[in-house]
Amino acid sequence: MTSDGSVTGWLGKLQDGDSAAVERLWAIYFRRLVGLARTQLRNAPRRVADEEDVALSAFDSFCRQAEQGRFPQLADRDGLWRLLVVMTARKAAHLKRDETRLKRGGGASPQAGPPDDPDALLEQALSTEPTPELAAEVADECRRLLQKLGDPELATVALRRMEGHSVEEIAEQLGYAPRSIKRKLQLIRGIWEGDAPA
Amino acid sequence: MNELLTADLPPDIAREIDEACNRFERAWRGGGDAPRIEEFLAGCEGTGGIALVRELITLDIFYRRRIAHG
Repeated sequence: MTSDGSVTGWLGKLQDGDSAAVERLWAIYFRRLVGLARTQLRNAPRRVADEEDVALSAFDSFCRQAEQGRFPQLADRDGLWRLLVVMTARKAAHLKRDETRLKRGGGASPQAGPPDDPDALLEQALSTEPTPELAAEVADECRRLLQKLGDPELATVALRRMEGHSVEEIAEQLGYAPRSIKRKLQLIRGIWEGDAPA
Repeated sequence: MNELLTADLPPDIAREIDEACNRFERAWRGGGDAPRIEEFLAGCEGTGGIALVRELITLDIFYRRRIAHG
């Protein structure tokens, strides 16, 4: 993210063809997307590389569409993550469907599903009523990320922040200075950004 | 003192700093004399040490101001 945490800043850089923006987003999100794809493909017959292919395909789709300025409503990192979750889930679903067809003797479609419609994707990602499937995926991913923190107190801080509490509110609730909550949130981001699921 | 120096540190060092700061805050909230910053610096050197000193000073100022303002 940019220094002010602005996703719109990153989207602007992507539109300007800034490869550093792509690399930074890749570093932050790719491993998490691979972990999500692995969860999605858990019960599907697959090659080892499939989960990375799914994450790569979703990431590539996002970057190409962002370069074209097709996500004007995307305003923060939470929205970006939800969008990437939806895109990865769709790619994984397409792959599962195609591989099931192959297993049954049918041919895989030349294109993995219909072209992604940015408006529909964004609407789904930013919807206040996520589908049960998406809610389950996000819950799985949340559980995995909270476990990754390895500290119940850090997990509590992360959860309260996700629930929309302010830094000052969390500080008051947990008996810390606001500065310490900011530091803990920074630590949480550092742990998650270095996240590389086994 | 607004920028977090821990932002660019490896998570294991940032975690050590966080734990040292937790102990410092508990000492402040436990009542009694104000804790001494130098007693919370053991084992943290280099960039991590600088970041820890800065965090502890910031917390020290926060608690001294809070006491001063009742």
